[in-house]
Amino acid sequence: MDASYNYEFLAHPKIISGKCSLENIPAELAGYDAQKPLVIARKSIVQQEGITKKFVRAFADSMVVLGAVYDEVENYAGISKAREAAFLFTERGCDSLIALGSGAAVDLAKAVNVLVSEKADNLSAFYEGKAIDDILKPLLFIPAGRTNGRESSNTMIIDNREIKSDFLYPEVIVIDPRMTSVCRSDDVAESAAIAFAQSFAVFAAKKHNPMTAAVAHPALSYLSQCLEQGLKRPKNKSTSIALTNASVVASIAYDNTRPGTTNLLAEELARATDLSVGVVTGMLLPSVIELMGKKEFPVSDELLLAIGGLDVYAAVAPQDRARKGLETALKLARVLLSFLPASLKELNVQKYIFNEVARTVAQKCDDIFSENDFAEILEAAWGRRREY
Amino acid sequence: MNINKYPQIRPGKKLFKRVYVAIMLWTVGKAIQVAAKVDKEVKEELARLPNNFTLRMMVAPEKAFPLFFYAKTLPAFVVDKGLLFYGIQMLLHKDKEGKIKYLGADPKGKKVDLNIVFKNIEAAWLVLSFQESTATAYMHDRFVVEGDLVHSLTFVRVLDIVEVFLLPKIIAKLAVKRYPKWSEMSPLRKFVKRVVIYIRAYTF
Repeated sequence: MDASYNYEFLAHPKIISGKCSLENIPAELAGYDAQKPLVIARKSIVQQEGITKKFVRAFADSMVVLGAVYDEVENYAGISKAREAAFLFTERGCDSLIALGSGAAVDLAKAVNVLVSEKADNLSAFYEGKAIDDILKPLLFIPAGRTNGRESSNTMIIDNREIKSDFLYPEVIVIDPRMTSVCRSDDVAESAAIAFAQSFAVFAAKKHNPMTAAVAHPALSYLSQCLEQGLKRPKNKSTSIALTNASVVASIAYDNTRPGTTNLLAEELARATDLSVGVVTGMLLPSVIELMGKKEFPVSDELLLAIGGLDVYAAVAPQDRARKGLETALKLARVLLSFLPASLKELNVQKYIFNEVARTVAQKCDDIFSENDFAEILEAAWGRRREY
Repeated sequence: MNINKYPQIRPGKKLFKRVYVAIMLWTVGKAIQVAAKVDKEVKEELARLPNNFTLRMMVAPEKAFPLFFYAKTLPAFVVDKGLLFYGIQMLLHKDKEGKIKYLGADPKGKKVDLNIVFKNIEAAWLVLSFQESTATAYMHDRFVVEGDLVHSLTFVRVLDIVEVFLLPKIIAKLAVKRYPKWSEMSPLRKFVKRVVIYIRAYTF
């Protein structure tokens, strides 16, 4: 039997994308018998001119009443804020949640959902392994601004501790150009770097999963078509919605695959240096791809199909497709680099931490990469010169 | 924690869009009634619908769009003849003899066989302001159909023909799936029918 028929795959959220998507929220909420959501929004998003007005306007002429817009969250989601929002949720008699923004706002919305649905006062039991064993309140997620690649997944991070459960998936993801076009170029670069690394991990995985590849395919296609334009014009609605779609589907695909080398390395390095995961991911990606090409590590042919398109794929001989795929991926990764710091050296990252980071990642990763490979990647990213 | 810092928000109403959609549904309803009498193609299409058949086109959620405030004050003949718009719905009825009649905007006491529901006012606005054709709007999930899909396709074809009659080519091209060529619909027929439909729809 073909090995590609042996797989597991779960994609829970319904995705609504396109013009006037926000206006569909009342109908979606009605499907869950809900009409009073609590909105948890990222402060920097709400503070942008006109965003709240546009958001509220989308609910006009519906039976929905917004319980409140809780916007006390920026980059860090903690239990105290979650308790505050849960109190607000209960006091106002809300029946659903909407997370507007990304990163910590979504984590906080998930935490509030657990607190109110499980009638808990804190999350300590869940940190210690208690399972979330019941369906939670409906949670809708509206991506806006910089994403961290975890929003559409079954994970939440509260007080730097991770909780995973399939009940934590958002029910509906609403991608509307009015909300996605609020980014700056650096936000786009960081979000795209994470989406790229996540979808690349799917094609570089040891075991091929046809479903994750099918989901990651459009993510890489959107990135290859819109990345350059999206970085130059972050407010452009059509490119911003394409890149947000790429982030969302890459995250869903990545959730169903083993952790990728770039992602693990970036997360570990970001933890050690306090840098943004998006920046580090973008800087490590070219080094990882270069090393994979140099050592001829296996990669799926579909990588070329996703990035290059059908014409390029068909023009390359089957035995060369993997190599050519890595070359096109490297080109795309270099586009990202032009909007990020050129090297880790520029960011004053000290070289002495590399061995420790490489050792930790090697323990977590069951990939073909060795500890020396990780160290080599870090060295390459440290000493790179700006040439793009 | 002071919860008053985070007030409850009641989103408002889009009055202009409500009135526009109401006028458009009223116009289209009356125009279909007239077109069914004056145009052979429309008549043939509508002949495919069963007799004693009622069609409703509306915007969800129904509770958010009650009849306009003056609806109850209108005299019965105004409501019967559909002389004024008074709600964001359109009801068309094909009676036992196969005649098409515009039934106004009040669904009370009427058995609906085919319900075409725009998911929200914005979706209705996009379609009725010709920013999206009916086919594109269905593809974009702007509305749902409750009832026999075959009958709804008949209605969409009728709608396309009526829009070609009512609107200038530059606008009608945006609203219909494919604008008919000269060989399919002569400009003379189009112009004459346009005049007849407008006069009869707005006079009696």
